[in-house]
Amino acid sequence: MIDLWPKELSTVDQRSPLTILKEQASLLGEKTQNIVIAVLENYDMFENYDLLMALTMRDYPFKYAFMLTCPALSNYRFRLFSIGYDIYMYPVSFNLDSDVSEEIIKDTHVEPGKDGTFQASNEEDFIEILKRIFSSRKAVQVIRALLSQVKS
Amino acid sequence: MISLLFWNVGRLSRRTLITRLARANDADVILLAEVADEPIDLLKELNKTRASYFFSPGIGNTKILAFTRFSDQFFRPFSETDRLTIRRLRLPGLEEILVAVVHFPSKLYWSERSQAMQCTELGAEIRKEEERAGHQRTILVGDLNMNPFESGMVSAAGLHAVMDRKIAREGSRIVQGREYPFFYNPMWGLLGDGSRGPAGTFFHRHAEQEAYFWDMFDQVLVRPALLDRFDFKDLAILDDTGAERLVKDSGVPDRDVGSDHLPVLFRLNLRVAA
Repeated sequence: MIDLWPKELSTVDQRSPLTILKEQASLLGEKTQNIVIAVLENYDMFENYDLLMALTMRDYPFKYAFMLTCPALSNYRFRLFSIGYDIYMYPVSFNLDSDVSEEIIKDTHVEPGKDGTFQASNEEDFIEILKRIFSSRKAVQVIRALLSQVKS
Repeated sequence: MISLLFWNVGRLSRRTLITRLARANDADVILLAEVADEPIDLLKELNKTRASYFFSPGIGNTKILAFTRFSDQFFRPFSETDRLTIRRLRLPGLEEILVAVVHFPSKLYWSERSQAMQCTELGAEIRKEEERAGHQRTILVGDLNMNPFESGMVSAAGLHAVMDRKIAREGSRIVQGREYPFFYNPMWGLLGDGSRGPAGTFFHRHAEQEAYFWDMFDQVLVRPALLDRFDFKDLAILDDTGAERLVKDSGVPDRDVGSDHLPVLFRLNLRVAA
């Protein structure tokens, strides 16, 4: 039988946004002794894909939410942001917490798009936005609030 | 019976009015959006004559304020985003429920399509939290910035909120092979001037072809599992505090006195059957 498939089919030379998020999620657990952890939630957008496509062409088949989670507080969860992308991985669209969004706009003067989302056009941009989100006052405040609730 | 009061206060300092509303309606839970007052000032006012309310703070969501007539330990945040706080209401001797309070993006900034898309996320979010809680005894209340008949409210993948409790009682509906639970939306019954009370919760006169004048942006949605605990007569759009009118003589919300939104009050019977 002739193999018609290309040889390099299984070669993956690009880290997906999800991989990067997973790495960062595991780092948060290390920093807080797993008191506050980050969980990546897969929004099953295929579930709603027909509706979404009917509503807009600008949505993404891969969509994940970055949830700050505190197991000791009845698994309290806070969605810090969500991302969406397609099979090309970039651009990645960020849907941010509004306080974080305001902070980024103030600090960088970068305005979000009409739909309120920020776009990372490549991995470098993606990492830069993540850095800003994680060091935002809101993110730090929520993590500290969860740590102090547990410790008290 | 437990009474819940929701009001979008319109970024105005209204702590005296909130207190009057709460007292006049015997509110056990006060849920507020667009609050200008500091929580501490509001709490002081609420407890001025009698110390009966507690502040029940969110953790990640600080835009929706909650005050309860019981310790905040019975109304802890379960899951939050910047626009949503889902609380577990767990009072001794009463059925546990989830109270999801939302303040959706305004039509000033979001198109109806964007709102509908956001509803698919909100719907998914609620379903996930119900799965975590292990039940579907959920109410969703808040300023949805949509009318009950809009796509995001009605679509199966959105909030799937229907106007008929008999349909809601069916529990869920399968669309394209996927099952979506219903919400019952009693606000349909309060639409228009043939209903008791004001014709909506928000009034806006547009200088354009399509104008509803009245909108029902502030809504209460009830999952089928709570239908027997909710009576339509225990739902009201409030237009006075007992001491002053929140509407002008024409019947539309008076922002000079109250807010551009009217408050919504509802009651639930959460007693556990013996």
